[in-house]
Amino acid sequence: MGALAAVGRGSRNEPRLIVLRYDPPTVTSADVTLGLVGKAITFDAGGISLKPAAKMEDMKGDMAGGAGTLHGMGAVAALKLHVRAIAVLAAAENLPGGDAFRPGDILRAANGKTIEIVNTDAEGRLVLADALWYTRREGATHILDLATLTGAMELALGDLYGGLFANDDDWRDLIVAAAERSGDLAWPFPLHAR
Amino acid sequence: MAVRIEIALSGQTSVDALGIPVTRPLSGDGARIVDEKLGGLLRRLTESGELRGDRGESLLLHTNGALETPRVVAAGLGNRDELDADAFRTAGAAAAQSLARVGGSLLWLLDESLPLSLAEQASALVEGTILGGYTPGQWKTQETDKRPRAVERIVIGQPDSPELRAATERAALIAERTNRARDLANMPPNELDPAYARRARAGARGRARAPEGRDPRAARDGQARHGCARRCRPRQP
Repeated sequence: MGALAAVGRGSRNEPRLIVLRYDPPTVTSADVTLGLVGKAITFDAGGISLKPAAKMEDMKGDMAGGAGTLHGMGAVAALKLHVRAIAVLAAAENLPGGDAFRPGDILRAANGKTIEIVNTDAEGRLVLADALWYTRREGATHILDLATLTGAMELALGDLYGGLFANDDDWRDLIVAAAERSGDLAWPFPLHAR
Repeated sequence: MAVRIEIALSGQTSVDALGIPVTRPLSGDGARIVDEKLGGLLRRLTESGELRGDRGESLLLHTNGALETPRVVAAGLGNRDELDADAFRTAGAAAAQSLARVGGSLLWLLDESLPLSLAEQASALVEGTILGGYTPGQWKTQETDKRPRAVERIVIGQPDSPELRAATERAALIAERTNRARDLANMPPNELDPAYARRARAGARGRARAPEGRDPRAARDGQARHGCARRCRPRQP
C-alpha cells in the first residue's frame, strides 16, 4: 500500500487502514457484499505542497468521509441489516516533514500501478486508491466511497449537494434515490472511461 | 447520549414542550385544539404575521397554565401543498434549536390530513429534532450549563403501533449515528489521529466485529498483515 503509506510519512502518527466487518447470520443475497470506504485524513496540511494558512484549521475535517463510513457501518449493524458488509477507512495525517513524500516521487499503489506525484495536496485519491483496492480484494461487490475530495466540488455544487461519480448506472440510481429520501443530496457527475 | 423515543397520546405523559408542525395556511386538528386552549393565540399570531408557518420558522410560546405542558413550539413546515420529509426534518431541527435553553422532553403532534403518512411525519420529526439539537459545545466550553441542551426524550403523540415504533426508532438510530460522526469531525486533530481504531472499536461495540488496524507499510503487494495492536504508538502529548 505504497500510496497510503506515502501520504502518512510526514507525520509521527502512523497511517492506518481501519477495517470493520459485519457478517449477519442471514443475508438477503448471498452474492452481495456492501463495501463502505472512507477517506480519513485526520489533518491535511497539504504536505510539502503546503496549503495557505487561512482556514487551515478546518482541515481537521478531512476525515469526515471516514467518520460517516464508521458510523454508517455502526448503523448497518445496529439495524441488523441482512447484508454482508465491510468498511475500510484510510487514515493518515498529511504533513510536511523530513520524511514526507515529495512532488516528483513515484509511488507504487497496492494494485501495482505506479503514480507520479505532482502535488502532495492531492492525497485523497492516493489513500482511497489503496483502500478501494483492498475493499474489492476482500470481496465487496457494491462499493460506496465517502470523501471530502477536492475543494472544486464545493465550488461546483455549494454545500447542499455532494458530488457523485459512479461506474454503474443502477448502483448510482440507488444511491441518488437514497440520498433524496434522507435529505443528504447527491448530484451525479459524468465519469467517462477515457 | 441516546435519545429516548416514546409513542403516547398527549394526555398520557408529561413533557416539557408540545411541538406543533404548522403549515401555510394554518391547519390541522392539533393546531386547532391547541389554539382553542390558548384562547386563539395561534390564530392571532398568524394574523399579526408573527407566526407564518414558513419552513424552518419556529416560535416558542409559554402556555402559562392554559395547557398541562408549559411550552408550545410552533414549527413551520411551509406551504401545505409543497410538503415533503425535509419540511418535517427542518421543523424538527428548528424546534430543537428553540428549546436549546430547555432541552428535556418534546411531544410532537402529527396531522393526519397532511400528504405524508404518520410514520413519515414522525420519523422526519425525530431525525430533525436529533440532528438540529446537535452542538459541538463540548469543544467550546467546559461549563456544561452554558452549552445548548438537546432534547433527551421525544414523544410521538399517537396511539402506539409497530409501524410507527419501527420508523421512529430507525430514524433516531440513524440521526444519533450521524451526530456521532459529526462529533468525530469536530474533534481537534491533536486528539483524533490515525490511530482511529479505538473510536472504531467503540462505534462497533457489541455489534460489528472489532476493527482490524493494519499498517499499510506492512501491506505492500497485497500482503496485508495485522499490525496495529503491536505497532500503535502511544499518542503524543
